[in-house]
Amino acid sequence: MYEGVSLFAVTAFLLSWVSVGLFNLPAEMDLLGKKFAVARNMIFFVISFFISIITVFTLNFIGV
Amino acid sequence: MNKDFLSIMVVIYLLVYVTSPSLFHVAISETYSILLSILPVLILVFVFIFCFNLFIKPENIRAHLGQDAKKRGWVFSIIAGIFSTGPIYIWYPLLADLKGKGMRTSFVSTFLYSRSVKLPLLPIMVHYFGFNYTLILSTYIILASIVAGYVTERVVDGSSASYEK
Repeated sequence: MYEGVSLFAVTAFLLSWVSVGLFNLPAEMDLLGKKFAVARNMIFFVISFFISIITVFTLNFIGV
Repeated sequence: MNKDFLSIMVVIYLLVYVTSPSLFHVAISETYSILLSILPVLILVFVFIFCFNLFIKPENIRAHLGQDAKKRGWVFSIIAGIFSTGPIYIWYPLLADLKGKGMRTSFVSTFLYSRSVKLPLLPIMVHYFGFNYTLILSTYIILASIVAGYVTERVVDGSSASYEK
């Protein structure tokens, strides 16, 4: 952020880093099912974008 | 799938050993360090699996985490996800076991997403990003975990939740 990266990008990075796991995919597919593993990661990836957007909008709205 | 993946990894390690022994030793050392660091949580997870299998019947799991659990299931999943520690893959065996005994797909997904709230790291986040940011983000993560769970169940199981594997 000190280098000019937006809070949107930082938040989206944080969220997708903790929630999406491509390296864990083989293990997740094996234990929880292929459909679940792929769907979960894709849904979490998309949700991370939305959360980052509404987080920053909320911060701006409350004036922080 | 298990044997194929393991075989591929063994072949890769052998290739690395043949082509670059020093890199092989670095990789093995790294693997050993990771194993040591996750060992406590791994033991905890297996203790949970053991206790769940010993004391908790599938009817109990269906009552608290199944189709009829409703609000209780969401709360359990969110709290369990927030308090769960260690790497995500350690929790897969427990979740698979619970899923096989009737845990809703949505609760599995909610548990996994609410893990994004990292309790031990919250003070560091407050330090770098401020209290307001941390509070707002954590709140939205918890709310989004419910959405994530619901959407995942709709995609994976269709319009109705299924207890079948």
